[in-house]
Amino acid sequence: MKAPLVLLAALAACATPDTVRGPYTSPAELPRDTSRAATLVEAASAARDADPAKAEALLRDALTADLFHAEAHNNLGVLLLARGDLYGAAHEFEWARKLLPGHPEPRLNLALTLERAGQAQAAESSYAAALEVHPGYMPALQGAARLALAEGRPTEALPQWLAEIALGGETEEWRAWARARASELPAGR
Amino acid sequence: MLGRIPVLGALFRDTSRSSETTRTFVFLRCDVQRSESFRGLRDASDRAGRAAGLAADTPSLEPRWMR
Repeated sequence: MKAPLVLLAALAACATPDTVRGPYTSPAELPRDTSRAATLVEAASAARDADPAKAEALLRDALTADLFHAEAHNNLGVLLLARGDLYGAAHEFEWARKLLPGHPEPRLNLALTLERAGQAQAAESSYAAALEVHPGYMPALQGAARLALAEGRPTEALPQWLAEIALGGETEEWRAWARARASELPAGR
Repeated sequence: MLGRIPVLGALFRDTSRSSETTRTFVFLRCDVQRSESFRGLRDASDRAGRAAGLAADTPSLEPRWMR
């Protein structure tokens, strides 16, 4: 008599949907300790330059406390990208992108990751998405222009991008680069 | 087994010989460095960058950390 009960209990346990955790899971479905996560993310920011491994551990702890902490996902992706874990980085940037629909940073970071993975077209789309949520976002303009030239596929928008970078690029190096590339474009572009 | 018998064993053995030659090519290109501070090395590595489709003066772009 006991055996069928045990089997039934086992089946019931299997049938109970395990909490599906993904960027689209409602935050209400999981326990969250947002203040602890915020503290850990802050500590990770402080430790980032001196001890990236410690920063990574802090960010993982932050995500254990609150799986929906978008900045923790983004910053963990930055650390993973720095140590060449492209797949892990893309996964984290994807989380951050879904959790922060109005922010260009995760989209830019995803584009840089895809570019490093040799997926130029997907990287182009991600730069475009960053510019869509934040028109004129300089890092995305720089990345998109650089990629278009490296791939030998100058888009119609390239002259405009170069003009904007030449004026407002993040560094003098970028501004000089844009001026030089603009002067090399065929006349009429 | 029969092939291991001295002298008569040769009648039961089959011996063949073959030779194989492997050639390894190493291509070297000389670059004369005229500058005492080896400034030409920068240009030599830039050439590889240009060949890979990146302009030598292309700045780097770092991922963004969020606070």
